[in-house]
Amino acid sequence: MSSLVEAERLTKRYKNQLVLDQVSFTVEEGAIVGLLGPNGAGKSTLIQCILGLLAYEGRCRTLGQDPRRSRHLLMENVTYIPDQLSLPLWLSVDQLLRFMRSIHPRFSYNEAERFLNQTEIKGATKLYKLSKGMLVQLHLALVLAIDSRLLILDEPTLGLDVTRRKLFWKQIIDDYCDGRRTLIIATHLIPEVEHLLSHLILINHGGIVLNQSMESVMERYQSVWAFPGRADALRAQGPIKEQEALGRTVFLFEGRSKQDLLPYGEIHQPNLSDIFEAATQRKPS
Amino acid sequence: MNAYRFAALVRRELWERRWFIRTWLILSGLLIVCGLAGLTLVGFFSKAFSIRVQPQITHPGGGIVFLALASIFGTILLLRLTVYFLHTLHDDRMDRSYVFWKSLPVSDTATVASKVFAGLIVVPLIAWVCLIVTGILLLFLLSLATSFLGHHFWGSFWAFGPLVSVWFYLAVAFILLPLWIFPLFAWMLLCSAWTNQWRRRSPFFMALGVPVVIIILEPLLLGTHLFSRWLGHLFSPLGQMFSLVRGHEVSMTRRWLELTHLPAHAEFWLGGLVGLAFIAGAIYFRHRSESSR
Repeated sequence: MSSLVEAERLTKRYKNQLVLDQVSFTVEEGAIVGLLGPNGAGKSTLIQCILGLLAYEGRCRTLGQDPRRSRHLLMENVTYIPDQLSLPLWLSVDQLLRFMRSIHPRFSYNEAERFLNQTEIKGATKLYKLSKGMLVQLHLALVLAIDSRLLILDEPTLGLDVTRRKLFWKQIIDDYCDGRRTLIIATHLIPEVEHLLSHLILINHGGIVLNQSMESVMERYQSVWAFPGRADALRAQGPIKEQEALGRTVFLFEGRSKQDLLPYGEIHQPNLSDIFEAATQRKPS
Repeated sequence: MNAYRFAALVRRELWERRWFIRTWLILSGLLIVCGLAGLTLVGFFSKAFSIRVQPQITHPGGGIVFLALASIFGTILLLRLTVYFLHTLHDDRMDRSYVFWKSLPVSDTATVASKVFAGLIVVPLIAWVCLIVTGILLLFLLSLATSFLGHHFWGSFWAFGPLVSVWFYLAVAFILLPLWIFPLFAWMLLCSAWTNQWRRRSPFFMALGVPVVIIILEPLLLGTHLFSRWLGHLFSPLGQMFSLVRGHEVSMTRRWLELTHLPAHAEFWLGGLVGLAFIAGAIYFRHRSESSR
């Protein structure tokens, strides 16, 4: 398996503000990576760096190319939906599709039409007349109609209602995730994506606080529902998080053996939101 | 970048900047309405006061209508292109669709080249086509009006050979004039990309400020006036355009004909090289520009 993205000591400053601080990571081909972090953690900046949309210090290779020098070349194989609506609103849907067909060698006009036929979007409509949900659907149809190797989604469902969000992720699973193609999802709406991910990168204050496969993450963290009267004993074991749920105390442990914890409570699969919360309280290493 | 993809980029400019066509349609409409109103007034007064209208020229050629229109269309063309080149890259950067365009497999060189091609070739050709159609309509109205007034200029108005040669000269002049001023347009494009880099609000001050500073400092520091003389030389063909309305058809045709000889001047090619250097600068700054946070 080869690395599609290799970042080494990636640093980004805006004047005196350090947004990314020596970030290093790789993304393997076929992985579905969750790039999670609170607002302002540096997720969008990191994505724009690996796409060549922003200048940076350090070294980065996306699909083997220097993204800053060869942005237009790597964009033949990379698709991207940014966190803000970016489609040109003065075009009509038809014009946009025709433009994409002329400009993008891996774009399938018929595929895009097939996706759009499942929506209420009509070809002659100007984009400024579409609702936010429809614009996201349209953008999704465009990127899914491109036979790309890497799809990057930056908070793609922000501002959509629950039904449209579910539809969005269903379409991603049905039409993109084939085990061969790679997906990077930046979001802070964790429950929406946790079942999709094969790999997790947690980012906070411009640095990576967790970078592991989902399998390792689930092994590394344990969620323990304390038996009545055993909460104090569990507290003494040094949990990284504690909360009350349904009248019981729930502890989150990191790197502990299940055997050590079994006498004190029921062990459950940890919740990614809890891991996220606990991990983002730590300083980046 | 093959021709098909480049054509798509140019078409994108046409879709985005609707003034590329709209300006000329509005101008044509206004001129035809003015022509109609003028002829109606002449007809009304000549009937009401029994005035016999005598045309100044005995055998007018229809070409004069096109030459007069060319002055108006040419002036507006150059003004429109000035605004276009000054703002196009700057506006792109400020628009939220900037990230979308940058996420496509299109190089900055191709993007800038498509804008230059659209401004220097496509817009002048659209202006020329609208000019010719407007001229034909106005000439038709004029022919009708003179017939009603008892003159028979149809033949001389619509002499095919002279008309076609005027159309041809105008087409060549409409392409060559913007190319003659190419270094200035390229400078504006450079400012349009440059101000992106510095996040200034408008490229206008940069585009105007730098030449003004050079004009002031050159005589003070070097004791020469080379830059201001070069600028004056660059603008000299425009004087031809503005003086056209006063002339009669023969001298007007000659002056437009002179514009078609612009490539014979070494300055035309030298200016082209300077312009290309500015375009390279615009590509560089466009490449370095970043999406807004």
